[in-house]
Amino acid sequence: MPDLLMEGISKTYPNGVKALVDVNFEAKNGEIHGLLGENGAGKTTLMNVLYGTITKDAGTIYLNGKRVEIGSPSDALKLGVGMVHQHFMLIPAFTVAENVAAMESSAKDVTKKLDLNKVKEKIRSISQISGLEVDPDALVENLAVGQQQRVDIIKLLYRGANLLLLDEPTSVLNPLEIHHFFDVLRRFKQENKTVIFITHKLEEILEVCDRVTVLRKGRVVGTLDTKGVSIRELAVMMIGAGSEALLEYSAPSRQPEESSAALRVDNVVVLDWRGVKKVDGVSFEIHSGEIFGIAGVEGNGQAELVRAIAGIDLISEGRLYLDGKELKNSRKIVIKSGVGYIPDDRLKWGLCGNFSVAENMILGVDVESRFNTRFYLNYRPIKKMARELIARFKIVTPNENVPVKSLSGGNQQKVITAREISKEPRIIIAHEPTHGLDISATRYIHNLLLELRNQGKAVLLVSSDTDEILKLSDRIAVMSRGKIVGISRREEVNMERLGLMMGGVRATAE
Amino acid sequence: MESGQLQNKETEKPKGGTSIDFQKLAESVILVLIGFGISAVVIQAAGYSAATVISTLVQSSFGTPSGLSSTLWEATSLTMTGLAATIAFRAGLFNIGVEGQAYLGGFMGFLVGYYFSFPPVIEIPLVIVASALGGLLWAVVPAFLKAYRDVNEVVTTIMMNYIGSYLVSYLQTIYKSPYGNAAYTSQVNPSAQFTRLFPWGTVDTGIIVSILGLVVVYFVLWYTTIGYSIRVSGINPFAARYAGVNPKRMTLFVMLLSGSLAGIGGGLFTNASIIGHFDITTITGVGLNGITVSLVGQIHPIGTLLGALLVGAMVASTPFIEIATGMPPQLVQLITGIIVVAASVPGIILMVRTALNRWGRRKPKQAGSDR
Repeated sequence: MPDLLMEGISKTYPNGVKALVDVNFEAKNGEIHGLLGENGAGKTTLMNVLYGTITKDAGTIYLNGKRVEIGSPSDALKLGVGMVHQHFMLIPAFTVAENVAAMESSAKDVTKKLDLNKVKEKIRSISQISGLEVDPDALVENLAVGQQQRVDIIKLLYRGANLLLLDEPTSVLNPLEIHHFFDVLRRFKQENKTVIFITHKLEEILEVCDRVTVLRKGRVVGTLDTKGVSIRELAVMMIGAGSEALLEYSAPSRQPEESSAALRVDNVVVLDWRGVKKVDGVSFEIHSGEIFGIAGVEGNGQAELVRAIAGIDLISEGRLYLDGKELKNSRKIVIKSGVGYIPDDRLKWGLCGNFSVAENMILGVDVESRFNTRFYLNYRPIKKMARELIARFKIVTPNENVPVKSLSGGNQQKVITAREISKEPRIIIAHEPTHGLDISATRYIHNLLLELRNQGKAVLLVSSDTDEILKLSDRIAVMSRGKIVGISRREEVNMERLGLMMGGVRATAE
Repeated sequence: MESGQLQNKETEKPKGGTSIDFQKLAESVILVLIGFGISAVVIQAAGYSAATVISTLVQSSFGTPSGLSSTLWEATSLTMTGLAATIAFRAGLFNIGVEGQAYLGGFMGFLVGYYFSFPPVIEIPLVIVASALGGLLWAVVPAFLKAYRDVNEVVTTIMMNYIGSYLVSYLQTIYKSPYGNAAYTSQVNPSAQFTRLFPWGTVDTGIIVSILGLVVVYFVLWYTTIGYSIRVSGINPFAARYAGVNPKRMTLFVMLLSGSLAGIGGGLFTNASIIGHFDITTITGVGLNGITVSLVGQIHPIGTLLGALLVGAMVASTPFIEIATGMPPQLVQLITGIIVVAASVPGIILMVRTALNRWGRRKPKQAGSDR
């Protein structure tokens, strides 16, 4: 029996998303085991089940041959299982030693005097053994991200964890730090600790992992030895062969009308609040009557690019052109120019949850010209419009006056989509338009997007769901680390290359 | 077709953009009753008769014409400062500066009344405009610091309250009344004072101004495009960006509007029929109580009026309870405090939620023409 065995694990989220379906997973002591998959493949959910932050619906977990019940992270830590999340669990105003000590203390320790010197001593010895160098007296808020990550790992080692779950640990590190980090992982291996390494980067799997388990859409595709496996094989396993996805929708990809670039994005650069380039010189054109898909793993600058085009994020370099005329980087002007925008996070950007359906139907709408008013907001025509849209788009709601947050996710998405289409836009930007929706709602939204294309509108579809991109797009671009890595027509898409590009491997001419 | 599930069917009341929510009203009434209950226990435990205290409280605030009149008078300026707090809360801003803004507004109202003696039709609007300006002036610094430097407005407005308090304390010595040893100022010209509505009570025409203010705030919040933007900003700052709201301009507009309303609240107090002079010790609390009023009113304009009546009743009845029962004033304040705190629970929850909404506000650099 392997040292860690997870058997028949299933998890369905309350919104109906099947995150894990009958997953079997195993790991041996002293191995680095990669967990590979696209966004939403269930990697993080599986590890959260193991760490006790998510309760599983079905399945059993065996640790060192014994069946265990893990109901909370503290249960997990008692069993020697520790997890480093993508967002670190640290208190910025505390020193490293204080953060580590906080990990240890519990309610019954309040009377015990805290001996920080002892904690520091132990941190130093952990640093020495593992190679995770960090100053125990440094304030966490003054540390670089890579060092904060070390603190998070040290916290777990301090508690005696010997099975470490690392959720996309390299996403915050630069290449040099990654190199050092892999050395640390190898040292763990020598100490017979087990590392489960979640990633979507194919090269990293091959570089550091002994074995890899590939997940796709909540199911295990396979577990294999990394020796003798090629990057290509992994890429195909990760994103699927894709052929069935292409066949499912009959709509053929279209040749765009020549010389009619509806939207031109010219060398756009977007910085985040720290000044890091999230979008690094992106250029492309979208023509009327085509769906231009941008694929890629979440967090590679797509969100910033989309918000910049929509006029929300600041474009620090580069320009946008709408029908040949420059489009100013201002949300108000973008709204007035007839650009529809379906944002990625419904209840964060696209809706005001407490507002009624009718009130949400005018969010981000140019009310002045639509209802011919500058100041007074007459609800009668707004409600009338809302009722029409509810009927036209078959939005399931008792009436237009209920708070939009009481609708199901699919119907919330329909409210946004209906609203954006009702603007009769020239261009529509759809960012993760079917995220978290069930099959019928997904299908409905997909058909709407295809219909818009057939009406001659330009559609920018940005999605981390590769199937969705393949089903709908006429041309496909892949975005990685803020750059467009390649653009090709759908017929010419090479699945292998697509997977490689998404996995962060530069597309090279072959 | 997918099955649209409605989780809370009870929210299906015919509610448009506007909202007068009877469920919320019932909530508040029950909480006030709970507050009375706790107070009764405290009163009994302290060795007094709860029945006497509560009947005196109700009698002296609502039971007699002059008592009711006093309650209404207290509620006049509280409604206005309450509205100031409400409109800021609605935009997700915590204008604790209504206190200082009310001082400055009150003092400006006094200055107009001191220097000018036009007929009331001119004088009274002048008083209102001047006090609005005074309050607005005191909101300028926090408003700009918040909008352009993201300095927390709670901190800056509290600082401005202190500065305002010391400033008007000094200024009032310049206009010190020649009579007696009192520190307060001379009386304003009678034309600058609001006139009594009834001969038997203190309530004056100021209450008309407050009601007008309430109607305006209500209309702006629920029947205008700018009010829509204010409400979106308060509930979901991200959706506000999506809707094209310029957060800087919104912050400036709402802070200055809130300051103006608070200033008018101060003017209604200073130039009231029974006051007519500026005195920092009596005006203290008009703004901070306005914040309480707004919370009691669940951050809704109409609730604000009801909250002002409750708090006004507490203030108006305090001396009567002391006389009727011989309770020490501190104990009276404790029991009225319990009632008010109980009533503000839903408002406090709303406020905390708004504060939590703001946490995620640090976002990538925002586009727009303003930089």
